[in-house]
Amino acid sequence: MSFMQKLMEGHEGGLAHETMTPMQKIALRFVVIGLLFYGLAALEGMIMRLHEIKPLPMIDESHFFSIMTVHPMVGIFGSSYMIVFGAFLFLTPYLMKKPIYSVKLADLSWKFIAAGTFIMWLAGFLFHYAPLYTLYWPLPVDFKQFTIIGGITYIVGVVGIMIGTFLFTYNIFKTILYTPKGWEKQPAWDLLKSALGLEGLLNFFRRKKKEHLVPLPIAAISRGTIDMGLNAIVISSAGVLILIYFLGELFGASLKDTWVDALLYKNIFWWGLDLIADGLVLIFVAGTWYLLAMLISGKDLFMQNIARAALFLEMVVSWTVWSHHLMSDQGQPNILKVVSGEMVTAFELITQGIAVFITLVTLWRARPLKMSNELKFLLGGILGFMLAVPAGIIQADLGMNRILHNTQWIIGTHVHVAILVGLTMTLYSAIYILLPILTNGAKLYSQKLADLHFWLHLIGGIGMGAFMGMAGMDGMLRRALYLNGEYNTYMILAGICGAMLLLAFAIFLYNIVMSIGVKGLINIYKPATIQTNEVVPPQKESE
Amino acid sequence: MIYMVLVLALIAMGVVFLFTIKKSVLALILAIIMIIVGYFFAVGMIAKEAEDEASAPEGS
Repeated sequence: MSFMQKLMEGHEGGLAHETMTPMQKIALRFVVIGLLFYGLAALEGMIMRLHEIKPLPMIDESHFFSIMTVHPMVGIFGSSYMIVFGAFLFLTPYLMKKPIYSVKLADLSWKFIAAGTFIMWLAGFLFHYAPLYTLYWPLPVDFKQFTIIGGITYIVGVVGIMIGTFLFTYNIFKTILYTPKGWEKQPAWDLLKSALGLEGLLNFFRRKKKEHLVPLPIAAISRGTIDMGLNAIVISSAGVLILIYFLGELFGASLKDTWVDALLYKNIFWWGLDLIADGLVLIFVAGTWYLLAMLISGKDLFMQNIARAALFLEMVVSWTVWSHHLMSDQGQPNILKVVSGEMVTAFELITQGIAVFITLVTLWRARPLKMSNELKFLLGGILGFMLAVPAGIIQADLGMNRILHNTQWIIGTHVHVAILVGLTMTLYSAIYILLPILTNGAKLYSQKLADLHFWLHLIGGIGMGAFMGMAGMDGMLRRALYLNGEYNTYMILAGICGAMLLLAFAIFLYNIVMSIGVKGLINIYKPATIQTNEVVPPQKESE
Repeated sequence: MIYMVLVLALIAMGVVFLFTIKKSVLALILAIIMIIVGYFFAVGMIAKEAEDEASAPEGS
């Protein structure tokens, strides 16, 4: 078979799309778009890095900061959200052993999020709207810097993403709770109590323990989805607030920005944002680790009950942890800085430590294990969080925060290591393990390329975070532009590592395209020939 | 989909909180509690909807 033939048809027959269910296709649509947005975010990161090393002639200051504004939004919503949504919309009915509640809502979710992310990106690319992803008040409504059309475009994009998110949350909970046609009535309230961990909590006080109605990964998905919904409410409220100011300006009725308390706005905004930054990532990731550990080892999870309790605890922690983002704000009450900022944040080390311990022991007890792609990416993901979480605890100390606040340490050693190494490697592990299930047995094109992908991503991700952190310890701020080569040594080294990450992604994408073929890739977006709400074809279930 | 209606109401509540609360930790914490309780209520409505649909006679 020639190279071109293989590229078009795929490896060993490629993707047999006619055997796929609508839900398999939708899950793959989420993942493919999510990977493309990941590539866009990686390119944006490299452009900013190159500009920091040697200013690029086609980028001025306003364009640089508009890239900085959309880069995390594309990475978080366009990429991470999309991949996680696709995986969980497939896994929830798969693990509950019932059809998905609504294929249509699932299909609408990816369309809204993909369109919303693209529109939001356009606000930066076309109109240089650059209030940064934190949207600190009153920057988003600074009409001296930004145009009304830029701001409205941005908010329209955010609205699209939030609609997609609410459709996802509804579909997930409805799938867990509803009774499919012809089935015996499902106990919706009991299922909800089990999914949210209330039953698990009550079990601690019961002599006769009640059986859990939902598997552990479903409990993690449910609790993470609660945080995702709460976060979407907060972001939507901020979006509506900004929109009110823009519409007022548009119709000649300017509103005073002092009507909103900037510190209170920052508290509410970070309360919501931390539900995904700390809560959702840690809860979803812990749940995904447990599922991956069980699938890889073929054994039950070690300390299941403790894992459920830890997930419940993590949800409460995620609601009360936000104040570590306001440690350097003079007006922030000390009680919030100490209790929420320091004490609750330090607790994350325990909940995350429990998740790491349970996952590793589950794998250890199943030795000997083959070092498969899913296993090594899972271990990479665990390593990422073992580096990034302590880095976060260090910066959530009132003394250390004076030094590290708003520096490259925060965004490099903590955020990028958590997202690129911890979260993304966990997602890659899920993609490698789900690929044959989602595609009804498509074979990976090259194991050597998968190995290369692993090492380049791991070294690139940790290296980039480390060099950004070193620059931060030398005083390099995270939202400032240095055009005289002040931190060039670190930036060049971080740039080399960033290039490794980009290369790793290109290799992964090439490997996947060669596995399923360009035709297979296009066919994912064509309607399914099988009409069913079941997630896998009936013959697959009986195997 | 009463869930979506309740979510919209919570978003509106959030906007009101952003405009009205000033310099009060207690008001901030109460607002957060109200949003959490409100969202759990919205999710509870999905369970109620599922329960009602399952109890409804076939074809209704």
